[in-house]
Amino acid sequence: MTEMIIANNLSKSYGDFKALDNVNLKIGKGKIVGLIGPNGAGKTTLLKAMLGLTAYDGDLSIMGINPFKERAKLMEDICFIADVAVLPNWIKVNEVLDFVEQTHPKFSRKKAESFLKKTKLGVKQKVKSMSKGMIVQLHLSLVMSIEANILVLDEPTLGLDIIYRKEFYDNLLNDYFDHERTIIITTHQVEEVEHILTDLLFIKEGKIVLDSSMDNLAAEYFEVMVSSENYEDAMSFNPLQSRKVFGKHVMLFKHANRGELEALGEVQRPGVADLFVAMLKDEEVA
Amino acid sequence: MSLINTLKALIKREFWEHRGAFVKTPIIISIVMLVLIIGGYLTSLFLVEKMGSGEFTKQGLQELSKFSQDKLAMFWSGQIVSTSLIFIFVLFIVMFFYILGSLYNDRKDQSILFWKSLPVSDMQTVASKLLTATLVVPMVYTIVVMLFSIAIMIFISIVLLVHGFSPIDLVWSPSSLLQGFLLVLTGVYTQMLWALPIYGWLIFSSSFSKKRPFLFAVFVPSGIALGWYWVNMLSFKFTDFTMFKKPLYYLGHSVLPFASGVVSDGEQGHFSFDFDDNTLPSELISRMLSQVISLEVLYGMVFASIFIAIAIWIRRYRNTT
Repeated sequence: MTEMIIANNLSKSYGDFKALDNVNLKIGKGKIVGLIGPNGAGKTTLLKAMLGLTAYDGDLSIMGINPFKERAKLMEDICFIADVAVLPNWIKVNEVLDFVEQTHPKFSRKKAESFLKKTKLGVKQKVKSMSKGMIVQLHLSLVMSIEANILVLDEPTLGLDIIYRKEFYDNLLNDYFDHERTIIITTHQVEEVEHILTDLLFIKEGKIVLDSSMDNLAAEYFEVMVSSENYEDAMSFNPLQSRKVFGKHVMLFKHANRGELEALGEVQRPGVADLFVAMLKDEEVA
Repeated sequence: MSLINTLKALIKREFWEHRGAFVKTPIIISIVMLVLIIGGYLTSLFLVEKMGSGEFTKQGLQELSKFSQDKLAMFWSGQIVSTSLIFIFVLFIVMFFYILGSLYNDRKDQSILFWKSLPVSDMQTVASKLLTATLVVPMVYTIVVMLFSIAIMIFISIVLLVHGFSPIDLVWSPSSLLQGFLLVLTGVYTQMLWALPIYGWLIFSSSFSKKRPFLFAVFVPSGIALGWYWVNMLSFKFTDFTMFKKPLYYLGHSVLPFASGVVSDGEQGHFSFDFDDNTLPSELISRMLSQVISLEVLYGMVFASIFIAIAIWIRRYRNTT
């Protein structure tokens, strides 16, 4: 598999605070990676380093390019959206199309126009007069018309209502992702993206605490719905976490004996959010 | 994408954002002045007829027709000089605020990361803004001044025709549009050269300031000058205004590039800008050119380069959110 992003001993400190602490990772072609972590864990710093927006210690290579030294060149191959709902107020649809067309060698105006045709946006319309949802549509039309190899999304749907959030991810998956591209997403609304992810990265206090494909994750971790009478039996398998839902105990296990637990209750795939919370607690105990 | 294409797109971008200041402002000023002049003429026509005192306008025109060709030439060049004074002053004010906002506005409205997500280097971005301010917009203003002057000349020609005088003899033959054009062109570009250190400081303030670039740009240098004056005062040098004079000297030339700008750094610190609108355009042009080829302008360029370089650096490495 072709590695698109390689980080070796990547560190970044702000004074005494270590935003990134010896991060090592490899992200391959065709992956959709969820970068999940609590506030201040270093998600944005990691993305900024990848985008050449911040200096760092250690090695980082994006498709063989040093992002900090060659930021402008990197932007031909990497596309990023910090906040999907922010475009300059004064710009008109045709102006932003002109501008991206004239500055980005991998932008297809035809494609963008065909995306825009499906919306209610007029060519002469100013961003100022658009609703948040319309701005998202415009921004997405632009991004999806750029033949970039890597797409970085940093909290892309912040402040959007649920309809636009869902539409955003649906469009992304259906119209954009083609298994040749790599997408990295950070978000707090994990539930909305987990069904499209292929890989998961948990970051905590500047360290990667989990780096796994979703398939491996499903093999290693599973949840069991245990009724009260089997509670004691199930507890003997040392669940990572146990919570009560509708009178039943939902327990999260790692590397446990699946066959025996299946006898105690229904086995299901854990949600990324639950897994995340459990993993962070696990770390604290260990 | 070639560098030229990228720069073209970037400069176009500046015009989209600042259409009002770059194009509409000089056009509106022209229209207002035209309306005032034509309105003034019509009012006087009306009043003259009402009061029956007769041939007021005609008398004035008769006086004009008695002028020698040299005097008429002076009259028309005076018209271009005084018009362009207004526009050059406005141009400086517009560029002042444009540059002050150039690296700040997109941080304020948070669109900076959108611009940074395109394969355009920060140096190209800053260069496009400076090229817009120093080369492109002064040309736009020059063209508007010329169009305005032509409109005035056409209007006066019509008035002359109505009263039975020859516009060829009184307007189009003595006046020289080419000379007027060269005068305005020299005016806007010598203004730019004098203003370079100011522009450099402004673009630095624009990238450096977190919240209020205007206050930073104005009060930091004022504070430094006052502090310097205070230190001198402690040693009983009450009349040493050097730190005020230097910036004001550049500011004076930027606002009034036609002025002779006499400065004698004597004990009294005499400081003045002389301007005489009877000076011939050719003299004004050669005076502006001879003043601009000076060590002061060279120092200004060095100062500007340093602060522009810092502004690019800040834009590249510090303005990332």
